[in-house]
Amino acid sequence: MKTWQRIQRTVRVILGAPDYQAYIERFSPTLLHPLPLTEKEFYLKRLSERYESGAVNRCC
Amino acid sequence: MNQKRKQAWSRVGWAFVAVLGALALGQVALVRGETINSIWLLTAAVSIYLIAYRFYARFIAHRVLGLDDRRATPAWVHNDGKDYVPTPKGVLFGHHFAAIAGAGPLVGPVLAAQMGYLPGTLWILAGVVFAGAVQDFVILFASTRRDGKSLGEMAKQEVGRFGGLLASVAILSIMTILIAVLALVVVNALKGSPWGTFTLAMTIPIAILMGIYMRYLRPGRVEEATVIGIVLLLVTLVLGERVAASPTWAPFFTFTGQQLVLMLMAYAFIASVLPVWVLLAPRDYLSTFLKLGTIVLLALGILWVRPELQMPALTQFIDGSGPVFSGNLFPFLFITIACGAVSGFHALVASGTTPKMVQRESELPLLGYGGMLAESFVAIMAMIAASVLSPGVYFAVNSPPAAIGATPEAAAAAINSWGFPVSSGELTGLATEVGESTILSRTGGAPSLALGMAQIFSSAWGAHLTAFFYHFAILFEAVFILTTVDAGTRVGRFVLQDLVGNLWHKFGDTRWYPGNLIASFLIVAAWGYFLYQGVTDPLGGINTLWPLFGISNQMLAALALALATTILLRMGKTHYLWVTVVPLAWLLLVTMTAGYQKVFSPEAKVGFLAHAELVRSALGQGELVAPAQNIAQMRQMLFNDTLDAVVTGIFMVVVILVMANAIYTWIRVWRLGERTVHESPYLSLEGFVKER
Repeated sequence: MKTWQRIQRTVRVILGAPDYQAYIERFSPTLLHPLPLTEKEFYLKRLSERYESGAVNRCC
Repeated sequence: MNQKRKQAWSRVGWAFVAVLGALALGQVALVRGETINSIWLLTAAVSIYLIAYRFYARFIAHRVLGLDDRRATPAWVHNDGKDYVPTPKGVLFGHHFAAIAGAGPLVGPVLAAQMGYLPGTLWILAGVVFAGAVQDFVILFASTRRDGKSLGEMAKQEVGRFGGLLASVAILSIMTILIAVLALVVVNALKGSPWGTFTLAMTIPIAILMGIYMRYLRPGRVEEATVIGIVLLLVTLVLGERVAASPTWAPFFTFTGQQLVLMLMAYAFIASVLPVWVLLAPRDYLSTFLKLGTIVLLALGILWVRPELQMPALTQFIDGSGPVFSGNLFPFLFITIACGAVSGFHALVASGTTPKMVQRESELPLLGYGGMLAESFVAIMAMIAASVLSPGVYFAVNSPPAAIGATPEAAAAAINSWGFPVSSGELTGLATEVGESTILSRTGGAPSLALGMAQIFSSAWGAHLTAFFYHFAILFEAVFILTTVDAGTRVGRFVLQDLVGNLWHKFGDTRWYPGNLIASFLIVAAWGYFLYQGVTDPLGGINTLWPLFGISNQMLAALALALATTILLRMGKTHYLWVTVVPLAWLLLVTMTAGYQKVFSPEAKVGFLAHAELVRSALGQGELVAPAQNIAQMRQMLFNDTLDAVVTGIFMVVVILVMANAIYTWIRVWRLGERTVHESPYLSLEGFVKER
């Protein structure tokens, strides 16, 4: 299981895909956000942050 | 003692690499008459990369930039588990490489092979060592020291607001030309090819399926969805052969260039206003995965087969009379190969996600300099793949109909007259072998690269699979070009909304749906126009558009290197300014000469205005200039020539303004001794690492 998780993580970093595990590990509750996002919410939020901005994240 | 011994061995090792590199390069450059093995080219390239990385990158790291491992990188300072995540260097290298490598380094070298493999190879190697990798490295460093700011933001901060505005205009114009030229590559590969069109069309439902999987079925399981996508893709690739052979189905997937253009534009418009989870993100994962996998396969294939290069070191076309692109070796070779030698576009990527993930400053040379060396290696492989084809075949695929005619007989006759033996039977036979109706005038680099790759793969892993490998290679390129079209349209839309938003506030609000639709439409219409112009161009379009793309990409590189120079100056590194000034000067010389010649050259083959003049005088006398068949088409040609001249002119004006702006800043910094760098405050790494 541990190896699979490592592979999963590596693949996601290389593809620039959302890594929910890393987010949960870093999450600390605040007054405004007492609970972390669910995996689904996190996924959609990260996608729109990555692709719906003027940022160029792939070259030609 | 031990230390000394280690040092001595290291010296011996590096001397060996140097001698090996020199021998290989000598072999590549000097052997004449017989064919040479591709392994020499690879050896020369790798030796040069190793030496450049060990010595020049280290020199820049220590002497010029003064990397400091005790300094906390933004990944630690802002560590949020989202954008800012400290990432091991090996994985981050993969991330960075996946972001910078694209279709560019695959296409440019293939086109440049018309002058022989030698000039292009030498430029790829010299360009990457002294310009491309330096640019990527310094910009990555600058962004890392500034909390991961983008190129535009840094330009605004270091060179002034005007610099930032110029960066936006530059990005918008380069996007337009880039999308048009890459889409043209796809169109040329797919016209009249039901197999290719079917597989590419199927990537749309496959991507949507992946999107639904990652959104609803197994949220966020990117790797699972990607594996499913790849498997389905290979299945459709096999099915494609059946489709192409079927008299019922083949006509549904057989289109002319013009039809494909309209379909691509409609697709891009719809894709760019859909939510990103539906198409863009899954397609991005799919194409990135496919891209990395195929690059590794190509490297293994070349090492396994070690093919001979059939293309001569130099051809007669160094005089500028070649059919693939027109213009002399200087400056046009240096415009044709942008990516792989120096690509301004990387400055955008190097100031994107990577700087927010770096763990230590000492890893920057590997990522910035090393990442670009890896892309350059891809360019060398593309050069090899183009050169393993017999030159006769290479020219049949890459020459426009205006140069070789439309039938295999005419093509063979024309190409034989240039001194490259090929028979019409060979050309039709090869087309059948790869499952196409014709391979003639499939300009744009992708098809000849696919032929070369198919040749390498099939001699490595099975001769009966040539057609499959050819279509696999076409699919691989088409998939990530389509991703660029989709993502680029979206980026262009946001940049446009941001620019216009300065004047008309409402338009800048990206949640305002009508604004999104209008902006998307404008962007698609802009690149669509150039694309349509390219498809109907008798010279094959690539001839016109690829140099425009090269010029715009090098223009962005000049902008990035001017920024890098400003930063070095502000850091007080006056002794080492040449590190960025020399490549900057070279790029300025190349872009300005190429731009000037594209606009003003008296030769109608090269200069837009000269060609316009030719058309205008013919119009005056009521004559037609080939391939126009009526007066309306003549007027169209006249308009396109003028438009292309204006666009090139805009690029040149941007370069001049950027330089004027930068030089003004340099003088001010120099005179006032203004040594203020706008770096983020220094924080020691120690506190952060202990915390973990």
